[in-house]
Amino acid sequence: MLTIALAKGRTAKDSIALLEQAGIRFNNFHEESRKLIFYDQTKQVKMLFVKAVDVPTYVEQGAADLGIVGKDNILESNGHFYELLDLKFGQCKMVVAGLKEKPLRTTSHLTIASKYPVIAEKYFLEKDIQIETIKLNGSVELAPLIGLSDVIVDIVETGRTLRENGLVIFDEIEAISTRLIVNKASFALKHDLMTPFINQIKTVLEVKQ
Amino acid sequence: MYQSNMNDVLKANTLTCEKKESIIKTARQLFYTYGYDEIETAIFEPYDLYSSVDGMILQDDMVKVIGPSGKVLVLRPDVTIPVARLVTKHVGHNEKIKRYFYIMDVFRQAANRVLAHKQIGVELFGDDSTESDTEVLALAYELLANLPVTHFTIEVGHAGFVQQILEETNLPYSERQLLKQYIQSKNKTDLQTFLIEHQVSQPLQRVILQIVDLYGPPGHVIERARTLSLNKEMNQAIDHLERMHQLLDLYGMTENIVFNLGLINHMDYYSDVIFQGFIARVGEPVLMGGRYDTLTEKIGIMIPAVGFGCDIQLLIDGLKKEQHTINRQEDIVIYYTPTRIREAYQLMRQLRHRSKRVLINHKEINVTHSARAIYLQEQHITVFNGREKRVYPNIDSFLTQYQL
Repeated sequence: MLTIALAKGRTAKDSIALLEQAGIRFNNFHEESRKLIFYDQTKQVKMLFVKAVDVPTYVEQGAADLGIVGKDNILESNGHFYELLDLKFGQCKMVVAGLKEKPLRTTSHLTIASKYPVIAEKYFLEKDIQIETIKLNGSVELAPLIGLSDVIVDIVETGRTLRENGLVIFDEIEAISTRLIVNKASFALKHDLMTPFINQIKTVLEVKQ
Repeated sequence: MYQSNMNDVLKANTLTCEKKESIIKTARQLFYTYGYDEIETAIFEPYDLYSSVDGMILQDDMVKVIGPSGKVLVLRPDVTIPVARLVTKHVGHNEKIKRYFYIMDVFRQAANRVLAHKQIGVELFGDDSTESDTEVLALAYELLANLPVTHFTIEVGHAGFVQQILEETNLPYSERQLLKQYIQSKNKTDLQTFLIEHQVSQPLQRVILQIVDLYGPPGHVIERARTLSLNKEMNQAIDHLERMHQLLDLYGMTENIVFNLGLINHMDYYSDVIFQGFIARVGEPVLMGGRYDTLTEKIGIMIPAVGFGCDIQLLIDGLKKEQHTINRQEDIVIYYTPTRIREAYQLMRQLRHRSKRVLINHKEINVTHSARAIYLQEQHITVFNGREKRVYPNIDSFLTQYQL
């Protein structure tokens, strides 16, 4: 049996839809369910429905053989696993944003608020800018408004939240999309199960294109 | 309730020790049959020794201690480096092959604690032949095959093969690291974007993207790799792997081997063949090895070396549940009436000489406590074994007649 960890939240619907198109159906699944484990009709696939940020951890530790999760969480985790497919949904951008009237100072010490401290630190380190990161778990846009931070590092889909709060994008760090990740040991040990599974998803993606 | 939990903790602890011991015993026996001798290096080593081996182990990862004279020492952060150092120091250039195995602890500094890992492994020095590479790989294979695990796979790759491709790109070091990262995570999406952005030539792009898929049965991978080879060195790497595959066949080891030419070990010191072992129920490689001729060069003497190491805790995690209880005989408890104390001790010693687990009970004469008990009474000996109960006139008659 294969175990797949699926990220709750913004990409969950698309993930379920993709698996369904690949012929993997979870009958008793609905997003409001309090259940955490679901089985597909054939009992060949076990699905763990977990917080997006935890998906890379489940896969890296081998608690799940595969995972469907955004590139943002993959980059933040720095984990060791295969990143086999770009599933092309949940597309957004990882950006540096801040107040229009307070443009990005690259010469002095910056305070960054972010859900993604690892990504933020790596980005500014490469630019040789010293920063202090403040880890927030939501409503990151608030931080520059109340002076908690100079700028934020966050994902942006439509940019509406930024606009409504008077924030502008200073730089784009990376394009984000949802990926299929695979535990390296599972890839080696369950290759016979894994290959058809991955190929099914590949086929769906090719048809979509 | 709490009491019984405590007991579980102790039981689990003892069990882990037993599993560890059984793995070590299996490994020792196996290494012995391949002609390897055990070697050990110092736990505390001068910090300076590792600051010169740049890029091998992150300085932050080492556990540092200040010695009495103010010198900074580190707790053994790696096994291969000190073993290689010890051997190169005492072996001349032209000496014959040296084979060693080790069972040693390695210490690393994690975020807020020190991690100690017991590692077992082998190193073969003084020979750079394909036969030696295969011998070490076969040893790794047989080690995993001899352990009670449900399933194992060994992935074999070639650091030189990947290195050649990186060099063909002419990219600077930092960019190569990123490229390596994409190759080893089989991340074709970002790999493609990267190659286009860095204006890598079309033919080379095509080759690099296909490297990622060079995974599977050895014969198949070798065939496809040949069509992608860009230069003489890559051809040699493929020839080498092909020869290893043929030799593995002579060892009778063709199952459970997968070739993965996108394989990159995170330790940078591997120069040619590399391999990683996986066992069912463990989410990371339990065994890593390969040829590391460049490391010995960095340390000072150019001596060819190949080896592997594995983390005992990871092996324990993968042991089959039903195999967890090691065949352990039940304790034999000796009870005695005070006048027979001399005979009781005599019997205890004799049974222990016969490798029996024997306890002696001085306090009570409540024989029903134990399943296996011997009660030395005034006139005779009563032996309880489960539900069975037999009476003997003296120790000698018991020892000659009874099999415990």
